[in-house]
Amino acid sequence: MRDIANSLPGPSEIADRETLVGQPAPEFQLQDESGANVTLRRLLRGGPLILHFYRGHW
Amino acid sequence: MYWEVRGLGADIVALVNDTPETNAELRERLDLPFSLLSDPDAGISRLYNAFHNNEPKGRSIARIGVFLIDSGEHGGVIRWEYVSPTHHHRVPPSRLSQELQTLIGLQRQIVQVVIPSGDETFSDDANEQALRSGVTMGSYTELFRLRRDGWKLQAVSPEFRGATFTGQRYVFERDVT
Repeated sequence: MRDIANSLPGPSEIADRETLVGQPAPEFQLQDESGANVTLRRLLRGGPLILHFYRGHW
Repeated sequence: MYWEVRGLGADIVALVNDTPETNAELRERLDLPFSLLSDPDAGISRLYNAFHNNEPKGRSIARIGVFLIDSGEHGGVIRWEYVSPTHHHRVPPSRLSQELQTLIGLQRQIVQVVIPSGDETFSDDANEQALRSGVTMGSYTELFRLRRDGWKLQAVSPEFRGATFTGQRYVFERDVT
């Protein structure tokens, strides 16, 4: 067993980040892979949504 | 994970700092079942406070972040979030499933954790410390969390890819009153 805790960066780097829990999700309009416009409002018509942010190439 | 989410009446989309063209390639290459939206300058990730200011070292980019948003009918409110401090951190699928089941009001909740064979185990203290620092990572730490929080282990089954043993699947259940 290895002590992982010491090797993990804590959340201090984003400690000053303000939580958005309880707030309305910011609206957006973005293009999907086929170039079609998609809005959050539209996505939420179907039910709850899991929004996942990824970085792309960097 | 995706089909479990769909089965609960929810959906997943990913926002990526890339063009629709590269997203199309990525989706095909990884055979992703969910849609990739293009947020080329990470502008939307800024609105969600999930932005990593990397200047002047390099290009600023989105942090890995997960937001659980209630349906439009309930005002499109953010009910749960996890924004990762580094690119190593991930939300365990079981945690996301738990939060979704809580959001939709399921009283009997079931989550599954797959421990890949060869994954390292850690001491209870190390797991506790990892969780206390707000870090949820590693399948063993997630197993520890579920046990600690009173989830009941209902089943364990081996996982195979073809004839190769790849790990163990643990199924946990709890009643929320």
